[in-house]
Amino acid sequence: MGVLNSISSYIATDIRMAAPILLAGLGLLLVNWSGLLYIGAEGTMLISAFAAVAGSFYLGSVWAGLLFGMIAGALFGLIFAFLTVTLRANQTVVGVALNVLGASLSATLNRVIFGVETTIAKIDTFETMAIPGLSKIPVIGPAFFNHMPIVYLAFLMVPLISFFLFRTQQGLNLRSVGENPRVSDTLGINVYRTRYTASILGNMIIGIGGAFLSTGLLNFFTEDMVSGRGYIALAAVIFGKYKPAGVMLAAMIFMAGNVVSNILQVSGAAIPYTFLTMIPYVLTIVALVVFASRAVAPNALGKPYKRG
Amino acid sequence: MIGIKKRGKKNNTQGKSGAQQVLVSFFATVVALLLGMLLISALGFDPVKAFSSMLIGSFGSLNAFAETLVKMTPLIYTGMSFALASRCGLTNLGMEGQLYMGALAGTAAGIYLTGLPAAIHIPLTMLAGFLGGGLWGLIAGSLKVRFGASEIITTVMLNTIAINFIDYMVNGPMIEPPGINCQTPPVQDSAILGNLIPGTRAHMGFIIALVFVLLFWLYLWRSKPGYEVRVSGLNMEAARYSGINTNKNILLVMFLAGGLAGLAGWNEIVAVQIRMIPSVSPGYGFDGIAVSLVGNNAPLGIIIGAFLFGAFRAGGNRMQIMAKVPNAIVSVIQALVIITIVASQMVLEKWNDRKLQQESGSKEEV
Amino acid sequence: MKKILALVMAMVMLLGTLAVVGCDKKEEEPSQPVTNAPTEPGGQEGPGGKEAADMKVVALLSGVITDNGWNQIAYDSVKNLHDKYGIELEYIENIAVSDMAEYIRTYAEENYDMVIIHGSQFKASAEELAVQYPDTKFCISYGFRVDENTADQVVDISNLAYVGPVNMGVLIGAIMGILTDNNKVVFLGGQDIPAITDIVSGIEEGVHLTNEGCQVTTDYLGTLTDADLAKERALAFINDGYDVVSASANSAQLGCLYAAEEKGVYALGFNGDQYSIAPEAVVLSVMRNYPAIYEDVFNSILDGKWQSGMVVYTLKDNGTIVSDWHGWDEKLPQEKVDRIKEVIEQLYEGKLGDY
Repeated sequence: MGVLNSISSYIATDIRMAAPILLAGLGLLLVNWSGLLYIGAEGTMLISAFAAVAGSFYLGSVWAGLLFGMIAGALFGLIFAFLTVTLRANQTVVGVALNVLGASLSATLNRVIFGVETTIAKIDTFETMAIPGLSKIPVIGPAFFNHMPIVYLAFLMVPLISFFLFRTQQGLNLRSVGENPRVSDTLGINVYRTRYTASILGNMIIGIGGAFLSTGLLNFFTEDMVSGRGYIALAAVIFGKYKPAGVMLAAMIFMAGNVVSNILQVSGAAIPYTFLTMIPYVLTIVALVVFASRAVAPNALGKPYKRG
Repeated sequence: MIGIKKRGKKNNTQGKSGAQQVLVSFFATVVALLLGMLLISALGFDPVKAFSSMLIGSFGSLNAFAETLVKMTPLIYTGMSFALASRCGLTNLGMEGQLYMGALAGTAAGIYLTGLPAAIHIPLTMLAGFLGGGLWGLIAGSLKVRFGASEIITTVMLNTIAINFIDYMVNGPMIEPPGINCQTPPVQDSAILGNLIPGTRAHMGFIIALVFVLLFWLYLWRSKPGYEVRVSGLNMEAARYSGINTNKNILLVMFLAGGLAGLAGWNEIVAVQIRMIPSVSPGYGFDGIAVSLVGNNAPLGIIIGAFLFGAFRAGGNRMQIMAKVPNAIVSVIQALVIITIVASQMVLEKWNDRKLQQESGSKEEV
Repeated sequence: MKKILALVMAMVMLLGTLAVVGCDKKEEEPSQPVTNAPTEPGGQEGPGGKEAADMKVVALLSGVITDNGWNQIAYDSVKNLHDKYGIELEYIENIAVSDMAEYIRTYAEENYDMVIIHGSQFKASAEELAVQYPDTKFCISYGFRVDENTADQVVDISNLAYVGPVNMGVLIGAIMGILTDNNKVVFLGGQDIPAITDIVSGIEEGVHLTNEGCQVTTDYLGTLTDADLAKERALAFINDGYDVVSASANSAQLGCLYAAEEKGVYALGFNGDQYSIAPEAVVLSVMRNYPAIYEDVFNSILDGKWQSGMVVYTLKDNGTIVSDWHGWDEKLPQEKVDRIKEVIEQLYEGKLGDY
């Protein structure tokens, strides 16, 4: 029973830790399918993580915080779309700039609003919500059905986004814009508007991931707290072959790397901690190498489009 | 690949548009600084004092100017690194990690090769630095060629891995006896670069970096392999059909780009740091992206871009001292500079296009 | 055009909010709890007949002052001097090792009285430049135990002092040893760097002072920022039966405290009074007493009693302090409270060994 309980709690850990990356990955998926290559997820998550804490602090509700986080994400999405769609700037470079902006702006605002203190502001946070009945199942219950609402939301979004992308007209339009904007344009799809929408909505979802980190998994904002999750989400999208279910699997596998580090350290394995820290990143590269095939990315990904 | 394609076409027409480009970049920087001033005053600091102290810090005295040179030297290398990869249609975001590996290899050669005259030792450490960064870059290149793994992702992952690896090395196998401080012993005296301006920190590494810019130019614009790289960058598919071995080019370019970033690390070791420490670079690798962007991936532009961001770093220090502006704001302004520069370049391009259309009435194909 | 307008609007709004919050903040200056009773501002004379308020002091930091750890303490230290003596509040953040020499030179040339160089990685720069500027007193925050191995790390320069508390780990360990019911305690460091390693190395010794049969695990997280990773790592230890958690990993350590609260086990804060992070778990916080230490050094410069070389603050010297109980002395079993109070006192009096 002890072993089963451990397994159950390790699965729960994996799911919890995967949730922010899954959300960021799903957001990136929307952005990518519209043909935009966005590497600024780290920046979006940071600014949203901060905005969520600020919102929860000022309005006293974690849901208001979530809304703040989504708005901050949407703003980043808007800036990105303006620069890369309207001005057709290099998407990678703008992504890099937004990473820097997200990190530095969240740090600056945090200091301005909350000051330099060791005590933290008391904020409203997400509570775990056990699913009645299901959470009582031994082993499986605590592993899968005893999480915070955002975790369920993240995993529910997988079929939803999948349905949207592959079963609805709007989803088809979005993908055709990413595959071949010129043809889409001649078919009467507004390429610019589609890309703007995808960028804003996608960044909102990435923002949920950031908000969940600071007001769900934790109850505070600290500088650079996203610590590379935005980049791991990028890899999750490619590893997941641009499919929501794939992204989910990828997020869970990558975070399993952290679970493995936990197990190794608790069991007292004599491995230098620097190598444990590398595990998720090495795993990401290995996953890319083993599973990613080259032909799955949207055709026009990263290419600026000019109405002609 | 990554949207470099379109710009690449424009970039080749140097000359008039090149000068125009630099002018626009300069103007964009001014706009970004104005936005930064707005932000600084919104946060309750004195923007005029902030920027005047920044100028003093980067150009106010011989010492300040020397600091700008010190800061711009690694940026020249990382700028070239990003630019070289961009010219081949690749996005090398791994300069930071390559810099670290280059610094580590350079340090190892500097410490463990003993009894050599400087004339032999320094080139050897340079070679080690180049190889350290180059091989790290080559990993990303070969993953792309062999498995189709996007170098945008792998290079970022390799950064974290490299930095953790260096943490391990300076704390373990290479730690300075008796093992208290996380740093390696200093490199041999024979590996240390000479001074450039007496009484300041400016060093010969700056001149060496300029030599590499010349090599960079000769390679890309005056050699056949360089020409093939640029053709691959313009259109990988077309290059392949015309018989260019693009896979070989990717490997070569990622090796060379990694090597250049590695030289930035080598430069920091033999000219500034003297030994390897865990945080050897305060972000020179990432700044390289902006440098190459300002410089439009061209040799002279990279020097100008490195000068700008070098001055920014040197002056930013002073700005913190004099105007007490929080450090994070300096990064906000840097992000704004990048954004305004890309935006302005694109506005310029749109404007040129429109003019072209008006003149000839013809439309350009994307 | 509409889109450009929208963007401009958004920017303006953002800046507007900044301006508003920027103004708000001015009112509420956080005050830092310090052990010593406040002294009257001014009054004292320093080098060259200087008033305390005219002393020029700066802290040069490797990271940001909001790191919930090492650099924040240095900020607290100069803030304390600022609040008590009215000196200018001056600090510089995020200084790269390669840039430290330049900063030291800048402040030395402006005739600063006291330059705090916060971190042993800056040792070489400090030693090189201290010789060149004999009129300025340099303090390098060295922060680790001195013994035969480390003694030769100290270079004898008349205006350079190596300043730091020692044996914090022993104090933390001793308290952890009393708190545990399962006899399993864990302490997680952020990275294997001197400022952290020194604490980690004292933990086991401390735990065994109060609880000989206790299982002690110390390890490193590999991050100073990733609080969620730290939280999950701590949870894994707690699930394995560890029932007292403490950590030294700047912002990341907050995650460890939060994990303890979630699982209902005890935690010890470190660096600052971290009760507010997890009021249901953080029994006490142990803090490097740099504010008082640097106040001491500041006064020694004023009084002309400056001491160079290794200036170590042991537990006896009040180099490490323990926070308020925040009501935990009511909640905890009485014998634990008594025992902890007793051990802290004994450690401070040197009765349990020379700490």
